[in-house]
Amino acid sequence: MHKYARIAMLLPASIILFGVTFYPFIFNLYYSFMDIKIYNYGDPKFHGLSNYAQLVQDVNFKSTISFSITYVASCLVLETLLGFALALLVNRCHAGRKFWFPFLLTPMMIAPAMVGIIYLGHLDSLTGSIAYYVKTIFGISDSLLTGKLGQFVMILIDTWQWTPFIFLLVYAGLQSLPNDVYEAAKIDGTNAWQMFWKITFPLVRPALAVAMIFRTLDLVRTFDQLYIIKGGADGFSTLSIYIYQTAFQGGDFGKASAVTLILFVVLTWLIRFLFRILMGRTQSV
Amino acid sequence: MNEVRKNGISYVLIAIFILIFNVPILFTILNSLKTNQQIITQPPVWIFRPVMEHYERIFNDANFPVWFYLKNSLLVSVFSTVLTLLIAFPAAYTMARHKTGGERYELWLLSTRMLPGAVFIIPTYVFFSYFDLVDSILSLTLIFLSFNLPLAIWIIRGFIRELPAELDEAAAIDGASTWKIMARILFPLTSPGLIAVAVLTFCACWNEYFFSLVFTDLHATTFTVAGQRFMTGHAIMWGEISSAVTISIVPVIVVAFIFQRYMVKGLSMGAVK
Repeated sequence: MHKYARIAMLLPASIILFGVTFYPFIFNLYYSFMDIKIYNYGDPKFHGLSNYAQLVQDVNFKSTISFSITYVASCLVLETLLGFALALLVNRCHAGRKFWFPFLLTPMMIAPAMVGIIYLGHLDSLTGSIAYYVKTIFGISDSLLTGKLGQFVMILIDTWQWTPFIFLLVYAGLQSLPNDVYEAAKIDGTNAWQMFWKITFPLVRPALAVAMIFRTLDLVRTFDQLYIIKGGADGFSTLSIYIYQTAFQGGDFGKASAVTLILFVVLTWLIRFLFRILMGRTQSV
Repeated sequence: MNEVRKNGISYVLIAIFILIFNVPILFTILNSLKTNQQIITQPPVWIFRPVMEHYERIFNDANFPVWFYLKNSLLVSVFSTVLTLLIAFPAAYTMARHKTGGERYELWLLSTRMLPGAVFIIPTYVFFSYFDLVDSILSLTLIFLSFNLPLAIWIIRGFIRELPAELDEAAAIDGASTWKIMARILFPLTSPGLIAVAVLTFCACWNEYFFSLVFTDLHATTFTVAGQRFMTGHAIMWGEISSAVTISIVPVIVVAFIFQRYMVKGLSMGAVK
């Protein structure tokens, strides 16, 4: 096939994806040095590093960062452990799997915004049904949606929704493992513990790595359910919520662009780093 | 004997997972069929006579045009899905068969999927307001298209790679053009992957919230954003909200159940390969 035809096939996708990566980068870079707010939108002024300086001093920005780190790390650990465990369990239970398997995926199918609405109702301490069972079983009658307990509950909600995702990818990885390796190991008298660490884990590691990369980056961008439940209240704000509030509620596009640029640079670096780990491992397997 | 007992425990644990995953959703669907008094009663009422009053109310509420919101969601999701497939398929073909762009291009492509929407939101907002396209089906469709392209290309590429290259070569010897090979041979043979992409893209668009919230106001409001219009400052109308949530989640759950096999295959093809 002609060389130009090949490139032409790639062109529409490339233009769109270039448009949503390169253009925003230049744009955010420019805006982040400007004093550009909703009221002087037509006449922005050069601002130097003032937007960045404001961020360093902003208490809300600091609490956003610290909550984001706790949130991303805790959700990732919980989802990975539970998802992996579930995949191992499902992999050895065959009876009626066709029938019950889809029920393990329902949480990840529905909109995170709807998950927010669902739990906002069920966790209300006076009227919610789940709050009632938490009260009777665990004896916790405090508000489940505020303070440290609230932060923990938010982590549990995300874990509830996305454990199925890790489970699904790890399970798919387990399904593609060759059976004869296990039989050979069994004949050699390998015990279950060795079998897991020496065979299963190394073989599903690429799939697990992909699942964890996707989760990490999706967790960094969390917006929907946290915004619906807490509306960006102090101590429950992520970077997406911070950017949204600064730009579209506070009208300060310059400052929001500065945050965006920081996020852009950190994530580009993080993606490269994660990819390198993943690619290295894939090749060594 | 030990084996049986061990597996028995596994089944019990899986059952617990299934309960935890589904009971909160079930509670919401049940709430949509309860009276307002029953919804807020503690302990929760399990046995009750279902009422349809909340559904009747939201379908007849002049301030909440359900069909309009559903139509917007459906249009945006369908347009994005069709465009995604049309653009992703040739790109995936040329990447899989001719290595166009090389490995660096592949990695760049997938990495664009990983930047959060917050990074694009201000630039795209300014871009579309320049053309007066904020709050339109078109702008949302284009934005969702850009979100879904990378994963779509990635998955379809995996499926095309699974097919032997001799297939194309044999057809080419018989005089079939590249377009014919793509349309008549590769398109039907990769249909499981295309179904997987279509389902994943459709659900992602249907469920999207962040951009819909910022970009829509009056003309292109999607159902996901409209759902919380019953949470006003004065009162939260849980009956109406529960029915709205039910209307939103039931289609994707049904789609997921029907096409579950394809999704599992598509995702694992995209991730593992």
